[in-house]
Amino acid sequence: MIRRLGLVAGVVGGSLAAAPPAWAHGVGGRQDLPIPLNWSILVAAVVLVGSFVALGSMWREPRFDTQLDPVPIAIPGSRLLAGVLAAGGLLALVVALLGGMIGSQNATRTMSPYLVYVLFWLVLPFGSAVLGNLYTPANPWRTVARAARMPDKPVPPRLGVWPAAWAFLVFTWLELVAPTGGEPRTLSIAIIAYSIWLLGWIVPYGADGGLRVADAFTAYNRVISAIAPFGRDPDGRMVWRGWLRALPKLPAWPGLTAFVLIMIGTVTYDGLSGSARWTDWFGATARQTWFGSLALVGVTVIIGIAYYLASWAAARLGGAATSTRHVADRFAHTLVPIGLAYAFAHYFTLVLFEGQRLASTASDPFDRGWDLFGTADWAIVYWFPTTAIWWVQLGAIVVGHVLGVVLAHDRALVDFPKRNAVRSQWAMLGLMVLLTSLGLYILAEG
Amino acid sequence: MLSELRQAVTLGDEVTIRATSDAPGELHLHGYDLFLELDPAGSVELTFVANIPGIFEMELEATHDLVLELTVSQ
Repeated sequence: MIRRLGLVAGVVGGSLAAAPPAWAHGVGGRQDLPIPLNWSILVAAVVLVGSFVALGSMWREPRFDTQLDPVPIAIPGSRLLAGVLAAGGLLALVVALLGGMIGSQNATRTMSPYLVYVLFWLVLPFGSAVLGNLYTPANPWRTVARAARMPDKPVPPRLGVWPAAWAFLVFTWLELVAPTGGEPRTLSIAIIAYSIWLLGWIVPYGADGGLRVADAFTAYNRVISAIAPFGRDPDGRMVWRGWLRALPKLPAWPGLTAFVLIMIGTVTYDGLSGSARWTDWFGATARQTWFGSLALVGVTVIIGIAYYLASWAAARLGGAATSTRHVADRFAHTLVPIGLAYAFAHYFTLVLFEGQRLASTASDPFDRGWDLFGTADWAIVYWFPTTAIWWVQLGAIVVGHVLGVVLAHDRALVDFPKRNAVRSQWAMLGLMVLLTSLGLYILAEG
Repeated sequence: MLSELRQAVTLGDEVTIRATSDAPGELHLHGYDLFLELDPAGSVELTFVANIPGIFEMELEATHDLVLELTVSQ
């Protein structure tokens, strides 16, 4: 029993280079909220329910889930851009791979953790959500497989994106649970293991088929980029199709529902595991790898069960002869904006602040005292106003869920008799309100 | 009852927390998820860069006594 505790806390220096690796738990912390959490949740719930009511009375015909009418657009230099992305992807892979071999193991002074956890994991998908899929042209494994002219063979349809979904879960485990997940050496080993995994799929099915089935990041960026107004038509030409329009057109690959649920579940685990409540409940056990692994899967499974319950209710209330599983698959795309919103709300400050280390570590990628571009001494500038962070997070969560409700309503008009479309979504609305509250709670208390 | 310390720092500051105690135990700084093992034999230190804005509580892990409230502002 501690009776006397002497505690001194103070500033010993200005911005220095030795920060704790922030991706260990994304960005959390009980924020100094500009409006109280209860009010935020109330506002979000009112906006959601209000949108739902408005949709029921004003949105009576499907608008998203209709024939696409893509307009071809010419983007000058798009071939050059694709070439630059491909070269950048290869270079990043080589630098990240070498990081654990020739560099120091100081995670904050070596480039590879920033390449993997900021550029590859956050910046590319966020960019894909606005500009269209940036990952496919940048994908270094695709570049190599294409150069090697691996023959394409038909992929068994039942595989869908299941292997990619498992790979995604393993990657998030590496980021959020593995004790040394942020160390350059671990990343080098992971890159080698992942390259072997992909090779095992590219050899039998070719570059496009193999990556589509097994590459977690191909699937992730493919799903996220369906939000973007730009895309490619089947002939590979750039088209403008409008925001969100490609989401209802995502192919019904087996495993896609699980993939989207894993996207949401793993970010939720990230937030929950960093919250004060979590350590209150589980104490030191929460830091054990076995517990983190179980909890990562457990949180994802709970989110999945909640979604299947809402789908079950939709199947019952919708009045169409359909199964829970079919409904769950048909509405999986409506969760994509929510998954992106979670990721964005959690990690955008990581991109804004820690992302700046991409510039400083680029000058000295292996922590060897180099200064290639004269940026090695750049310190992080915390330029984004603290008070605005919560507004961005609140905005992202609310907009993500409202878009989910809109897309679900749109799909319900297609899949169910029109008079039942609104009531089929009651349980889904309940789930959205629940997820919004949970998401905001996690962000505020994380 | 342990008293609570309040300390404000600026985002980007390098912060050191030094603790002495009369019994073993562990302090947990929430949000940053940093831990400090107390040692009755001497003082222990935790140094980190305050790179997340907000208000963060440091608790005695075993009893959840609040010992420090760290405000990281811009």
